[in-house]
Amino acid sequence: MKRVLTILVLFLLVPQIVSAGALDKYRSMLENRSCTIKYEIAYQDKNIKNNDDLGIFYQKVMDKVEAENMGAPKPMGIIVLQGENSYTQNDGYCLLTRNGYEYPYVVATHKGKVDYYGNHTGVGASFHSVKGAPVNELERLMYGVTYGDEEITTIMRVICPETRALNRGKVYWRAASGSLEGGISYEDYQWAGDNGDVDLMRFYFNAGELMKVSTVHYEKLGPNRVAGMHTTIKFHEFSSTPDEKYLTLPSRLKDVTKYAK
Amino acid sequence: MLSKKTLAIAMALMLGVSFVPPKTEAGSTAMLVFSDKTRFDAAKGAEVLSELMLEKLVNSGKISFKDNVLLNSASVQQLYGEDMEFYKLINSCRATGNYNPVFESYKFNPAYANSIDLAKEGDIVEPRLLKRIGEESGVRYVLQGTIERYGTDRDDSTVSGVANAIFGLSGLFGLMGSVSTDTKTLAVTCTVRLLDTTTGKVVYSRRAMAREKIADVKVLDANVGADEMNTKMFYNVMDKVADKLAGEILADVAAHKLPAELGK
Repeated sequence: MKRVLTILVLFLLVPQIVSAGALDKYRSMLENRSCTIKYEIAYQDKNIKNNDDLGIFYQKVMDKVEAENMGAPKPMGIIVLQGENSYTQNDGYCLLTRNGYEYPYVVATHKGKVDYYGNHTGVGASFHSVKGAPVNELERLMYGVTYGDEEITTIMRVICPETRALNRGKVYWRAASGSLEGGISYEDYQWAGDNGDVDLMRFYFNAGELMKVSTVHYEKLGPNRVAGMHTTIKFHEFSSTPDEKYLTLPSRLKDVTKYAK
Repeated sequence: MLSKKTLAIAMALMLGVSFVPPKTEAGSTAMLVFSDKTRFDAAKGAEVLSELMLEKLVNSGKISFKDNVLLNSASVQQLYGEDMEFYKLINSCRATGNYNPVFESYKFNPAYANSIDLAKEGDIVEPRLLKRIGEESGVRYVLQGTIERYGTDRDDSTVSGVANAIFGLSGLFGLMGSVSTDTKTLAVTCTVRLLDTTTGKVVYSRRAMAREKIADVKVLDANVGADEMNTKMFYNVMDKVADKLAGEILADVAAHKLPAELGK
């Protein structure tokens, strides 16, 4: 009888153990800080918009930008980690961290041509110059490692939880796992706040390879009033080899950093 | 043997029962009370704007509404509270541990709008609820609008400084002291949509922004005009945006850009 029970328990546990490992290899890539991740925001909406009491001039600028970008594919998101050096690109905003300095710049496509714009402003400054600043270790200690915007950082921190920061943010736990039609398997994670806020995340795997993640974030605004956001991110690459071409400044940009002697 | 008279009555009764006018004939449109997704929803701007729009469209005599009243049923409120419905679904899934109803739902299908307030032309909005609204009200099309944004602007200028610089009227204004104006602007942006209740599809959509200004002129210590945004200004800007949107809808009806059932 004991043997039957043991077999039954193992039979029930095996799928859990197998699916628990689906994110492990991605977790170790982030922990070892050796990876190249390329992703695309396939779907995102947000019911809370920055729509309150805006300046009319700003509204017009926003409308123009929105109209120009309507239907245009969103630029690819990139994360490259190589030891202490890293590169993140999210919605055109880039941050290169190299040899203890951070270089923020913007990549934009204008009339089919890719161009780069730096952060160095002021009289006589070129649009294409970048002034780096030493990595803010205190900020990293306080808030942990970031990987781009809040959404992708949250996803990466579910894959590889932030353990060193003083303010670790939301802690997700595994809620479910299973499989869908066509050999797709999934793992679900959730977080819930005391006030009724709730976040869910579903990681999709095809033959063990992470293919996409869907997230929902619901914020409780009051009795019978919530605001939700839904996002789907598709992964085009999640490999353990850092793509070194992203770990140097683009040749279009001039480094005007004043380095400590 | 039935008499001819009895037969005629029976025939008339049978015909009367079988002849139900199709719902897509004249009067196949209704207007939903608008929604306001801004922080200022308590100002009831959505109600004011939808009433003004309905009044303008009905008075034009060009749109065929089933009833000249705004729809604000429980189903309409449910349509506007779609996020809350999904939130309830999430919590029920958390209780069961099965999250498929959340992640494998239409919420992640790009063909569907996440909510009616974000829906663009061609998007599908909650087909189940819209079908119910159509059946309850006996219409095929519903007009709906969302107040998307309120905007403000402020412009201070001192007339004496400008006058001195351009016309050299320093003597005159020197006597009067400075004359200053403080102009405040309130703008409202609204999108209206026409939805087909049989499919939930947004078949038409227009967006407009209107603005209203008030000026407070100060001469010596006397004020002329108003220095704070007021109810009249709020009503006027709503009237202007309703005018713009109704004008566009009527022009598009005349140009046959909207379904034929809408026109009279």
